[in-house]
Amino acid sequence: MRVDVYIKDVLARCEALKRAGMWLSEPTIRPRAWIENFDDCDKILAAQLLERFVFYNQKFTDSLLTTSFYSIADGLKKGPSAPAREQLLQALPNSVFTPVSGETPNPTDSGYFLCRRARQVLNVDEEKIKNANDALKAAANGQPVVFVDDFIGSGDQFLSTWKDSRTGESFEKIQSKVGFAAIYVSLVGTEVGIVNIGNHAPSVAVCVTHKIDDRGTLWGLRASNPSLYSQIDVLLKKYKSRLTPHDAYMHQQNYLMYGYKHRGLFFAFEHSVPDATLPIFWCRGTNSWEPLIERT
Amino acid sequence: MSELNHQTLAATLRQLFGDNRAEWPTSNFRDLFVTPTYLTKLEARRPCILVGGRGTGKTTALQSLKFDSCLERLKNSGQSFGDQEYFGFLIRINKNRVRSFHGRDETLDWGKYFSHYFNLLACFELSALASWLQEQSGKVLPIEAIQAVAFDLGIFEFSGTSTPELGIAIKSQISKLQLKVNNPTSSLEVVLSMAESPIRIFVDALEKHGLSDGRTIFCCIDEYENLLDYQQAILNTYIKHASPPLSYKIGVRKNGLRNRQTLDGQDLLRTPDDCYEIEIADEGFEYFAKQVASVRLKAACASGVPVPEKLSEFLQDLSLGEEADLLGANRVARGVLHELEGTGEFEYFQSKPARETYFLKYWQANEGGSLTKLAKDWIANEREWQVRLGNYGYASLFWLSKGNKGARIRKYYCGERTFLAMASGNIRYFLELIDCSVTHELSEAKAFPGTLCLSPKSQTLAAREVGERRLNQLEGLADHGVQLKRLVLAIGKVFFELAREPLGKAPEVTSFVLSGKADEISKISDMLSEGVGHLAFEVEPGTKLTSRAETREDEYRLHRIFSAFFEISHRKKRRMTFDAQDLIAVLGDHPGRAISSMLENKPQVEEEDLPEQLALFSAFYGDAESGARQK
Amino acid sequence: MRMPPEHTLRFDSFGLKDLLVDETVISIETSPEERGRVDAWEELKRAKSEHLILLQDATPDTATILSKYESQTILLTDSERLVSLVKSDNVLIDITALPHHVWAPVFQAYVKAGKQVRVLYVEPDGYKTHPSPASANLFDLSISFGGLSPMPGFAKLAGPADDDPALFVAFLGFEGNRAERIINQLEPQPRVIPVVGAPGFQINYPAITVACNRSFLNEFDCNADIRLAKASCPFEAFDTLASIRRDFPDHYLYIAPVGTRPHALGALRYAIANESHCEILFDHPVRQSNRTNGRGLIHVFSFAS
Repeated sequence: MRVDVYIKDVLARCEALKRAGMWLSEPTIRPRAWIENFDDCDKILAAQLLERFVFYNQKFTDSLLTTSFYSIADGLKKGPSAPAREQLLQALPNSVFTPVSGETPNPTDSGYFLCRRARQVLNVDEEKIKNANDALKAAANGQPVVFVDDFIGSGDQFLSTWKDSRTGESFEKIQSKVGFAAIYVSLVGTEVGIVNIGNHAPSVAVCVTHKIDDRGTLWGLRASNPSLYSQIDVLLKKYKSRLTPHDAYMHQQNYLMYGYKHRGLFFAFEHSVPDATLPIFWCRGTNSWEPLIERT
Repeated sequence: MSELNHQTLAATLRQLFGDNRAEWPTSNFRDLFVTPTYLTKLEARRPCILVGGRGTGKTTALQSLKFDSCLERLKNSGQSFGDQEYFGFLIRINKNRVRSFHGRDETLDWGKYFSHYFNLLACFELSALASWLQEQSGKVLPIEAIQAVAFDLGIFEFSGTSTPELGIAIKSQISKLQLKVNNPTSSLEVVLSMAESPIRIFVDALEKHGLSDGRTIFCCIDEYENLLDYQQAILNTYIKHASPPLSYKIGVRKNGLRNRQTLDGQDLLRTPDDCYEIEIADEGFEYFAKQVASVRLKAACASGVPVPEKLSEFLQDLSLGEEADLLGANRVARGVLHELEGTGEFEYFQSKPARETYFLKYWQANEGGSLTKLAKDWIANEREWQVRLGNYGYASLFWLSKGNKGARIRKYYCGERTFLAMASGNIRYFLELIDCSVTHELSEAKAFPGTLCLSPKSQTLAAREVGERRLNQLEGLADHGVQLKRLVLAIGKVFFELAREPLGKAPEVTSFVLSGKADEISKISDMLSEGVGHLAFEVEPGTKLTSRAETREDEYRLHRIFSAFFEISHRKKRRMTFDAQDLIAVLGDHPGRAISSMLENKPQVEEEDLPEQLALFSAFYGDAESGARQK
Repeated sequence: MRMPPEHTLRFDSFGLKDLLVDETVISIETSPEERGRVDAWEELKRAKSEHLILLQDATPDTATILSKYESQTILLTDSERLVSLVKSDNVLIDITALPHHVWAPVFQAYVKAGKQVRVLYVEPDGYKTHPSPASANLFDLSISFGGLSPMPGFAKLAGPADDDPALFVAFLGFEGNRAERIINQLEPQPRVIPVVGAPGFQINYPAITVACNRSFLNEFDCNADIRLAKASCPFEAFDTLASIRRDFPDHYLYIAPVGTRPHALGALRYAIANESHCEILFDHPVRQSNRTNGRGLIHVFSFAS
């Protein structure tokens, strides 16, 4: 399609998503301003990226949480040695909920946010929501634990929570000694990350709504449309020098081009933008660079 | 003028010209109703078929025949029940309902079941009419008469005494019928009424007991096209044999009366012998449309909106010369003069207005040859060339704007006459064109103008927008809407190209006939026919020339509402022939190739230079992209 | 705490061991798509099991049945005969590849007969795109449409009066003009409540649904009324309808199940239970063969009473 017309079409699509209440209005998500960042000759590629960007607002995120939680009952195998469906269902009424946190737990972490949403959306009682310490105590008592998070990338974040022994015995240790039902509810997960968790914490029942394989990423594009991919690669390289992320760790390797650990993702939630999503969408930048969506 | 005032005025205009899906005007604008010119014909005693598509006012007209609406109209002009000459009741054919009687197999005698259903529907409406008549006339329909109707409908256990109770009993019969239709082989027994019989009994009773008092009762049936063919045959029979005090008024889309057969063997439903046919599009549409718009303009003036009262002033027009100027006659004329510099012809053309001089260049592009020679010829034959300018001037405008790369407007569509032509008999289109023009005009203006007139530019942009909207809506309108849209897009593109390339082609080709294999022609004709019914195409039916074996085939054109979108002439001039095979290919995976074939592989406008509204469809026009995405 | 509902099981692959005791399977004889071919049915077929009934649509009103013993033609409105095909109390209907006008009356017959009905559905892995689209309709799903007509056993002969309130509930899919074509047959046109499948089969599908339907959403000014229901869940579709009913208690519901099959299943289940105030409108697409790629997750929905 002709360039000017294609770009208009993509912007009309964004407008439709906004009108339908799926995307948030400007200035939270700013498709037009974002396209203006690019030189005229690059706009068509930028539009190609924009067309692939997926955004989940609060309402949709809630529905992902519900779906992930409900999938506990669907009978699919949730982990190499995870409990079966009946056991999981039996365990639930007695379980506690705890967020998966980052290296240094922070109340603004997604896990905390989603635990709070679980109260609203899943009617989980306040006292069932525990911080890490209390959750460990509960596990030691044999109580089931539901870990809550929004996104499984490499799986490392969960595994570090699972193996964290700074306050005493880790969940991992408790699992091997006492045994308790461990359920990990997340909204979206990469296949790689889920397999990783399966390898290192095989007893955990991992429940996500969307499993992303390569196809949902930049690498899937490389496989299905190599010529488009290489043009986009050039684009990412060209504009990465404009990007100025808050976090120093994003300057490693090619994270600034492809996202954290080179995941090359295309989506964001209203409550958080994964750093594994292409930074060209969310990073701040020099010279009045306008992010499509800001990552707080 | 304050912002709020601006908004109010704009809102008033929107209300007056905007798309009110309820076709009846609101109580504030009761005086907006314009009696269609054909209403008297429609109100005549004999059965009538009213032919018109969506937005022609057909449904409004039929609804105005309803017993209660009619009385309201009379009262508005100071008359009363005593002046009412007919009593109409309305049945709208619901496609999903009547197709329950699919008639595809022999599990039930579908014809009988459908007739029975229709009897129930009609008698339900008649019971409402009867109640109303009792109120208005003061007379009473005796219980025996009511019970006779019930009995004839197969409601043997009817114990009611009033017409409302009859209505309720009828509803319950319909439920029973529904059960049967959903399980024909079940043991449930349904007593079927005879064709039309209960309707006649009811109507005769109303007459006999003085309620209808010699006046005709109209059974109005709207959306006749939704009936299956065999169902049309059944109702055609009623129409053919209609006798006082019952008559029929049918509302149908063009080509919607697919079957003129009746149940009497060879006997067809004939016009005008059996019923009168009114084609809304042919019934003084221009006069009607001008009235409708004028009435609204007057109402706008009365509400304080500064618009002229005359429609022709409101819709600014352009003469041929004025349009040539706007489209760049100057630029071309300068080129001509430049070429003629130093020749004996230079001075002659220097004194001519640009809006004539450019035409010399057009003619050269059309015919070939040297410019100087043509110039000499013009000087020697001024009158002849003026005639030529008159004949080909319009066509030359399409060529003229070719040099204006990036111009937003390459051809104007404005003025009362052009809008009327583009609306082509559809009052809704006409109002939509005006409404859209108002929006464009006001979006440009910062303040509300002293007198609001619609500029040629606003009208043109509006015409383009309305055409695009109607094109996209095609998909949602017809069963084959997706295919119809593809046909329109392809044919429109062909005409677009032809309009731009005068060399070797006759200008102003806007219609076509079909050629090729009989079965392919048949397939495309069917689709075009459906398209006519949905206002995608217009048709001039072929006539057989009796003297020779030659038949003049049906001649089709795109509906004129698309003229501005495809930037083609809205006038009817010349035709070309399309191979049905190419049109069939348009429906497949490579429409681009079919279009090339229809253009005999002549070069087409580059994608970069396409008008934006056509470039939007480049995925359709071009070959499949290598970058086509997998989802 | 809201407990997860137990009405749905999911499988990466479905085997004979996953059938209930004495459960009879009803599926399609020959599927035009890869996902319609379930390996377990092949096994049953080879074993000439009496627990397998294969249907093939013959006409709009009939289907041919291939069971262990014989081939016969059956009228889809003949619910008695449909039910008599299965001796056991448990029946599993595979709706993945059967045309709607076949599985809908079959489903209705068994539900009304009080059988323990389970329904199986295989998600596709992806959809085919159209090589030369003329609209926002990027997908090449249907060749043409039969047009509006009732499904066998779902005919409705009476509806609301012109001035009675009504709603048009459209379950949206990837073919943007279907809902529009259907509502254009209704006069007067009721208010529209669109339902979008979210969460979708894949992460970007809800956005594609909205993009494909944007002209419909704008034309009928119903963006603010969009409801969400998981694309693969008939029960969420059912609950959405029930919820709409609660919000508009006196409105007649015109329902167009033109989105996912699970949504259509939920809509039909609702219609079966609520005949008095609703009606199903369907346009009978003539499907492209191979419009989907591959085989995704397998869902089994339990409608056991």
